[in-house]
Amino acid sequence: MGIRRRAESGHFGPVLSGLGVVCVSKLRLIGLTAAVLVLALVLIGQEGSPQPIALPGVAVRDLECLHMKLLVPDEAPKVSAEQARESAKMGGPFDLPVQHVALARFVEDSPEGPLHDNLVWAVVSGDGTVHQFDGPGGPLRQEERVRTPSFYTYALALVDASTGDLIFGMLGPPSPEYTCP
Amino acid sequence: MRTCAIVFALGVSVVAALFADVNPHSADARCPNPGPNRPDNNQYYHAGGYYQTPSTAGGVYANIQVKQPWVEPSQSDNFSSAWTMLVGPAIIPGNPPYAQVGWDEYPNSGRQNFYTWTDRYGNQAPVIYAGPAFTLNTYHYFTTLYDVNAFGKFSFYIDGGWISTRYLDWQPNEAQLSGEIDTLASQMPGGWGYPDYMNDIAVWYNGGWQRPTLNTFTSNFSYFGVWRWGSGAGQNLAILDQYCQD
Repeated sequence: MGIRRRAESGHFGPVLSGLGVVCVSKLRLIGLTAAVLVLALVLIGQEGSPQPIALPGVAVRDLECLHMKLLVPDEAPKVSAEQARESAKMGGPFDLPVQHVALARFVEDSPEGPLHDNLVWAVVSGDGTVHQFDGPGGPLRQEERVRTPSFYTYALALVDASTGDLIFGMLGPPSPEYTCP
Repeated sequence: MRTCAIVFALGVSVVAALFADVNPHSADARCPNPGPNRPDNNQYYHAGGYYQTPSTAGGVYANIQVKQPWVEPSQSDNFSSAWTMLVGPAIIPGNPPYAQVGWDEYPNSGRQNFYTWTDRYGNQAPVIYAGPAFTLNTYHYFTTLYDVNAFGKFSFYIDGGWISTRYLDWQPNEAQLSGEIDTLASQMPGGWGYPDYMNDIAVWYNGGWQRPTLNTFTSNFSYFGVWRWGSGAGQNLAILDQYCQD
């Protein structure tokens, strides 16, 4: 647009104006081609990498914070969802009504490689309320430490879908103050 | 001289009374209802030992006895627990970062193993379930490790089995092992006649596993007891709730 305005103001206005139109068209074409290429690359990339699964009530941050991912599974389980629900019983404050059970590929990353890569049943429990949780209070000799109450809304259990073993369980979400190092 | 002798004699008799019977008299090894009968005040209390390491702490382990203390049932998340922990310097005063693994008793016999950690500001991550309850009065190794060659790398082990590794943003300079409750109404692990014992205690620093003499601590000597005896590999720690007598 700027090119055209400057061109039209001079003696050689019509000629330069024509050149300007050609330049803009070329630029548009290059831009369009680049956008199509980027889109194609993104689509190709997505096709190759497994997609995350969504668990109701469990935010993506909750798992990312722990360097964990739950992805679309690519194999069949050896234990049933019912067995997984049984294995997911952890007791104490973890005992909440089961809300959702989903098959997933559980991947836990670390700078030194994956710590976990298992087919799991993800069992989400909750009762729709927010619970205050006075977890462990920290080191001794810090009796006056600043305590921010933590809260949880769900318990997440991951049960190995091949063995039926409970391999991970947590109360979530992590506190908003936790910086996810 | 006479005073010293009396104090010594009293000390011996107290220790003798405390450890005369290693096996608990009661089958439950816990305060009967209503527990220690103290106010439900929602505050934390400890009884245990600690050691500030002269160099970066690379780990702490102890063979800790599993008890089933009485836990105030007013809130489902009340607990009584015992654990090992690595602690770092506080960025926010009073809020040092830590990583810990241990066992945890919830109200009405909901016992399990757990681990948790904080970021460098002392903000706690979720409490993670680390396995079902061990049998009452059995001993188990709870180990918190730090890789001195990989900044921020912490690992948790129970009985030598790897539980988890976490990459955090701080490094430790202190090792601890302790019992803990989160309301005065709950029982600290152990009681008169059945303390909670911790032995085979080791701390990693200066390039290897060491057997330092621990400093002992309790939030309140009227309510809780902590005893340390022996040295080196023979060092023992015992904690108990003074209000729970068999």
